[in-house]
Amino acid sequence: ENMARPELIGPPEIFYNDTEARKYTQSSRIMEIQARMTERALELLNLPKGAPAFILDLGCGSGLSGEVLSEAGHTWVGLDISASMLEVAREREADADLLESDMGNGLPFRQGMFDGAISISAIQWLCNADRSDHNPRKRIMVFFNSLYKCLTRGARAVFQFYPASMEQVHLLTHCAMKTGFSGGLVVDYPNSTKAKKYFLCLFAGPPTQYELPRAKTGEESE
Amino acid sequence: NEMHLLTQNMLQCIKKGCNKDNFPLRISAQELRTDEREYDRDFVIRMLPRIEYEALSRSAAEIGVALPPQMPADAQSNDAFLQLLHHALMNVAVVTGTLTCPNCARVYIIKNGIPNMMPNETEV
Ligand SMILES: [Zn+2]
Repeated sequence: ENMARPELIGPPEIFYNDTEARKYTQSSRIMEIQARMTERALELLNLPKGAPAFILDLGCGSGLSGEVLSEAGHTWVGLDISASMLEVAREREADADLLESDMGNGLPFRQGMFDGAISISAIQWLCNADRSDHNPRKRIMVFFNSLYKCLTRGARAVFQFYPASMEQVHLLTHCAMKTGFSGGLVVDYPNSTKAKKYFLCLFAGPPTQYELPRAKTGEESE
Repeated sequence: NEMHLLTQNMLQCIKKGCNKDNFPLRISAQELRTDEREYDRDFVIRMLPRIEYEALSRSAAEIGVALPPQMPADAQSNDAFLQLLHHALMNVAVVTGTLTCPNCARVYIIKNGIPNMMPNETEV
């Protein structure tokens, strides 16, 4: 149970210690799943074809998702709260600038910097109160506010995540909409317990210019 | 991995209440490196409108990299300038050093090329 829900064990900067961080690049299964979810997130970002984009990877971890971005010809900046994870990313020579940063404290960027943002298996951590002075709703609001600002207008942000409950989905979606995003939840393979994947798809622009991407359906394997 | 000037040109102070004049963070570098990224004209042109050029040229000067103090009027088509800019943005890299907020003087440490932008306990 605990392996499936690491966020129940402790805060991410503690959970992703050196041992845990290394697992992410030693398990080919984890690596393959991460790569596939990143490819899907990139597809949902719907960037202009053939143009090198500048992308933010939120909770970039050991750089597995970033590799997919690099292979697609994009330049990215990765941010993570876990120094151990970033150390693995650095050792693996992730082709990006990396920052140690806590999303819940707001992103440290100027306005209109990024063409898009992706996040793989990270945003559910924001829903926890890991410290007595953490207020999840407030941290989520601060985060989305700063994300909206640092994206170019019309940019998209795609978050693959593992919600612990529908309340978490509602909280994240509600806060995102309150900070100016449009969009919503896309659930791929909703009828498959194994392959089901949640993507919060956000658009930094007027809702009239955005149509929520279609989920993948069927019983395809994960 | 190191911090390049492209990233430094976007970073601003995260300290609560420090919302004005909190950019650009001043660089002090103990260890610099130069990467060999290939010149990518399309990418530089794409980033051109997002760059705060005067801040960039000042920051570049702080670590000994020369850029014209003003962006040339024909920047978009000036290949010699774009190559210089690409080099400054993407190849000049800080491995060890600090970033300092020009407003509140908060210092951010760069270690192993990674700036630590985590708030400390009094800043949460
Ligand atoms: Zn400051």
